[in-house]
Amino acid sequence: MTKNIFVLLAATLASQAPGAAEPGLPRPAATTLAHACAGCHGTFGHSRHGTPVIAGRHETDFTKVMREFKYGQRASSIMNRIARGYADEDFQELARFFRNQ
Amino acid sequence: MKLHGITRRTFLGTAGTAAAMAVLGCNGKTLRAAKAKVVVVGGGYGGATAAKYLKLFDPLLDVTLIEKTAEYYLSCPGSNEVLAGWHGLEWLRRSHDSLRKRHGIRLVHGEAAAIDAKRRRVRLRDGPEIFYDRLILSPGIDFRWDAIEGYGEADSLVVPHAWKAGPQTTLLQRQLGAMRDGGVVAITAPANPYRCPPGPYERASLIAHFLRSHKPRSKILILDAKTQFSKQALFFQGWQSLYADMVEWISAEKEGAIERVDTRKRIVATEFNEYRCDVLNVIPPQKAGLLAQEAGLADASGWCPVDPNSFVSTLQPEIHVIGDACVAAPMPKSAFAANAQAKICAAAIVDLLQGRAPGPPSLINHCYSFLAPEYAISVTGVYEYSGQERQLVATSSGETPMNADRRREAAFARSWQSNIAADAFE
Repeated sequence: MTKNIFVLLAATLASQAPGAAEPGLPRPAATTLAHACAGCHGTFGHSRHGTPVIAGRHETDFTKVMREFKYGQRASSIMNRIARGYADEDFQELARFFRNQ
Repeated sequence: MKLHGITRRTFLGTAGTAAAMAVLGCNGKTLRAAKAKVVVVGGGYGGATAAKYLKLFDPLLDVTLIEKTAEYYLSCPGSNEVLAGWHGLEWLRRSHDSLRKRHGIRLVHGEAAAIDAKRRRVRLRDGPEIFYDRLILSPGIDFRWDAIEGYGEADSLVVPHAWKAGPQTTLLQRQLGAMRDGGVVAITAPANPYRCPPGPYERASLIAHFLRSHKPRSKILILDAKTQFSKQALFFQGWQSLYADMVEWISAEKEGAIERVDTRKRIVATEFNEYRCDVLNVIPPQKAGLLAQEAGLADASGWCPVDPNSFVSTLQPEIHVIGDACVAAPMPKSAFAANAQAKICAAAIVDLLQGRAPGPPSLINHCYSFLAPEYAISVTGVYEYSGQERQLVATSSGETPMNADRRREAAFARSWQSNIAADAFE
């Protein structure tokens, strides 16, 4: 089994994320992007337990943190993986949406 | 909770619906504006979320949720923890009361027996018909009782599948409790696709957690129809550090297909071998819920093809299918995915009823698996729509890093359970 682990470990490390979305296509609307976050961060960003409340977050701060997650400047076991799935301009849209909640 | 963030959207939605739905009587006078009717069948994570978000997006919509359980739905996420004795079965209860009282959703307790797509009506088992302008099905899964010789529906009353929470969970838990120390628990895992890809391996982990403190000489075998599985390296690492040699995974590469089960003798026969055990848990191959099959929404694969831009069926117009029953690859079949799909579907239906084309979707799936109370791992995907392929594509995917803090992931897993339950049911 040990050998399997190392083979898999190598495979996992080697697999790269597909990266940002296809360029040129219209981006999903802010509400569409934002409601996907509710699974972990609560409806409209009002987390009840554990995960950070993102509703009411300062816009600049939100965008900065998401960019840091995306580009690996801020360590996290989960948010790095999620942030890599978005275009940079999405963070601005999300920031505006959650600021108003 | 403040909801003023949707006020603008709500206002537009309200005005739009009223205008679009106003009907002229034959004498030319405007009759009372009729509300568009959306019916949702299935009150699990997908259906409950869809009903709730339809009302959040357009409070004027007439939304009916048809759910067959009378008092509460039992959550599948978390059911492995019940199996391990961490919680009672009642911990899995999800009530639909808030959907009714707080969101104004009409709740119908009954079983949807048939769909008349031409007349746009759902017929309930006990007779009444419910009309819809748009229908959302979130019927979950059914089992392929003909897939494994010797394992039909009646056999599951002796050898549980426990792949739907409820009496099956209790039955498996009792059998584990009654097993001798030094016994062997065998779990058969199906080929892809099926509900909750990492579920069989989380189950093996949590059974190991129970056995290690109660029957430490016991062993768990996973007989897999696959040659690899979700979060495999992370599970192997966890099993080694937490349970030493208790859990053994046997790949289809080694044993071939799972061919036959003898529920009386508790034997699993693979192509090349026979395994005798003390407690047997067969997780059978699956297909979309029966109602979807009968309504002609499933293709030869047994699952329901959809256009994930709106989750409308590609086989029946005006019917949308979300959750485990639909084909939304590369998204897995999970409660998280169902919740995300429900919101895309609800927004698209509001758009379609108001004569707008739905915008591009964006979805997340994030699935935690517990290996011990303070040890969890996760897998993530972020998804967008590819117009050319008319299917979803992952813009990012990944698993818990091998050196990440498992205790922190366990805390987030508990937080997820609480937040997703509230997002879907409250």
